Amino acid sequence: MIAAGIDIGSLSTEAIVFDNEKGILGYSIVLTGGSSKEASRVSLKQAIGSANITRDQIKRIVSTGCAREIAEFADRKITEITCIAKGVSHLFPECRTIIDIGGQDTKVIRVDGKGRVLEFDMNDKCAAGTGRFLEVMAKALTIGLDEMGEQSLRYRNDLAISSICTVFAESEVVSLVSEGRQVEDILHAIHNAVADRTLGLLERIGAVEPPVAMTGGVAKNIGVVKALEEKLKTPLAIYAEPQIVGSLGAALLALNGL
Amino acid sequence: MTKQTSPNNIRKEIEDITSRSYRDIASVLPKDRMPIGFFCPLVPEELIHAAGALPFRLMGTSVPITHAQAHLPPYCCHLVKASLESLLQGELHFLRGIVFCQTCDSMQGLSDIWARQGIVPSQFNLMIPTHLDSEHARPYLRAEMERFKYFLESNVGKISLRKLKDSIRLFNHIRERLSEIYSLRRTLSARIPGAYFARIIRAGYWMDRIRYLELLEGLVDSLPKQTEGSDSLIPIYLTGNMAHADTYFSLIEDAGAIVVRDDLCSGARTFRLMVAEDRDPLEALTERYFQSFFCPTKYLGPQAHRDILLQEVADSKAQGVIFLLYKYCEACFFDYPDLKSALEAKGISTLLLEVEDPVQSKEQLKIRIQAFVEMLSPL
Repeated sequence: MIAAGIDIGSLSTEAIVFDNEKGILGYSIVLTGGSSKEASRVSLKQAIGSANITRDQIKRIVSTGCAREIAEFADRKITEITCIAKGVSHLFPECRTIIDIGGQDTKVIRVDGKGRVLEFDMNDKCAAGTGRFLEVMAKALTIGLDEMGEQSLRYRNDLAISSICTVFAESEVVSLVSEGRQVEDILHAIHNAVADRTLGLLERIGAVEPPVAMTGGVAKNIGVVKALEEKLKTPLAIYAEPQIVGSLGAALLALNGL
Repeated sequence: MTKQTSPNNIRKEIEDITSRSYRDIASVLPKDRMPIGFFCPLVPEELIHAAGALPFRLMGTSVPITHAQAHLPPYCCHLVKASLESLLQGELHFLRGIVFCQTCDSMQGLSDIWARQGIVPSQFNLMIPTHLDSEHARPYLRAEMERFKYFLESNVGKISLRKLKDSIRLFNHIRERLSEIYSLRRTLSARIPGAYFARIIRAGYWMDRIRYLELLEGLVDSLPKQTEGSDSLIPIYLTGNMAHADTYFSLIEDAGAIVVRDDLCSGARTFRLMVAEDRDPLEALTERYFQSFFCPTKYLGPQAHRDILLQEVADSKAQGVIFLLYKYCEACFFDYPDLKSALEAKGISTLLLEVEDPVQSKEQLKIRIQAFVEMLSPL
């Protein structure tokens, strides 16, 4: 039995085609751009192509993500909080806490290991500490988003970014550059600021119960991962492609409904 | 059933008054009662009504905050900011008086700022004791009730014993009918959807109360006594501030749940304000604030808030509790951690929603509410 899940986020859209016996048959990640609707169509089409199946072999589709309602082809719409919990519980059933940092949202979730959410919280209207925050910082430092993580690991001095507001933090970064601080040190401070903000959210859902998993595009940034691991004093379980965990959960929930 | 109280006419009348801005509302208020504004259920509406005035509750409408910023620190709740903004924009010129009571710091500060503007002709500050468990609290509040009565008689009209008893009876009946509608709504939510229900509550703070009771009675009579299959909806208990914007009840229903009971300052919490009709009216009005009614700005003992909430949630058979709190409401946020722990110790899941202007941030609220309902639903 084949089902699909699609996660339509603010920055990227991911689709997965999943077979209940063979597992993941194919997936795709595309930039959402200006049209969530178009991105969802393209992403699903690419995932179907990657799975080497035809559209009519998919028996059920669940959409998730902030633009989940826009996917007309979806049989059911489920929030990304439920889908991420399901996806992580499939990949790392031992995990009890999840950190998801995506384009504009940070979510923290406590789970029971069977795919059920016990408690969750997410950032307020402000996108500070999310993927968008890192994009702005990368631009201010004129380096590529993909380079931030590795470069930050070469830091030598501990600096502090005192404000987590994206706009104010950008000003601080510019000031640090003007003072002649090393880019590596500034990047390390930025990643620590993201980790501190995430810890604040985690505190709101109670004591962090390990093992902890991390999902979302920011899990690809090794600098943020190391900062979180250091502050949490526990390693993070991260899937090889952390961006597709929400869509995986959606596909699993689609299969549940068959 | 008269034509005026057919279900369609009831809805039309309620939607008409609750669709109006403050500026437009004056023309539909009863001409024979001067509107006296108030913010809080600690103000006895019955006394205002018995004096011949219309108690008019200010409920924090959606308004861009511009003028009020010059008078208030940024950490005031939406009710305080929006009410001052409405005053400064000239939306509240129809009020002939305003009543404040001693609740939170922001409201006390607002009272002073309000008086300095000199826009509303008369103002009264009702001093409600903070420690309601003190032996001095009852005689103090009783004296305050006398002082408030004197203010109303000096500025509005004589309050006879008969008029006061009539008003007490009227407001008791309103609470009974609203409570009945609440119970019926659990299985008849399609007939009274959340947004409409929120408007029914709001209308009751603005319109002529005798007419309002007629509408409520007409509504109760029009509802079928048998259930209409809302059993699949997840029962939710809603607690928090004054929050009867259209948004919240409908967002919860859209997610597949239903509010079966609330403890909102403008909602079912006020059902606990029933007044004993067989004793001295002022004494009875005083006494009701020492019973199960509870405002987080007051103190009735270390466990009072927790015990009242746990009991109500258990009685309602809700599966989850949503805390709907105005951002910057210190009184609510100080109580919140203990209430959350107490509920979760009983196996009741909770969700915290911090809100400012109720019309904004709908998407952020939507995902949280949907995820919470999914959490309580079978996978």
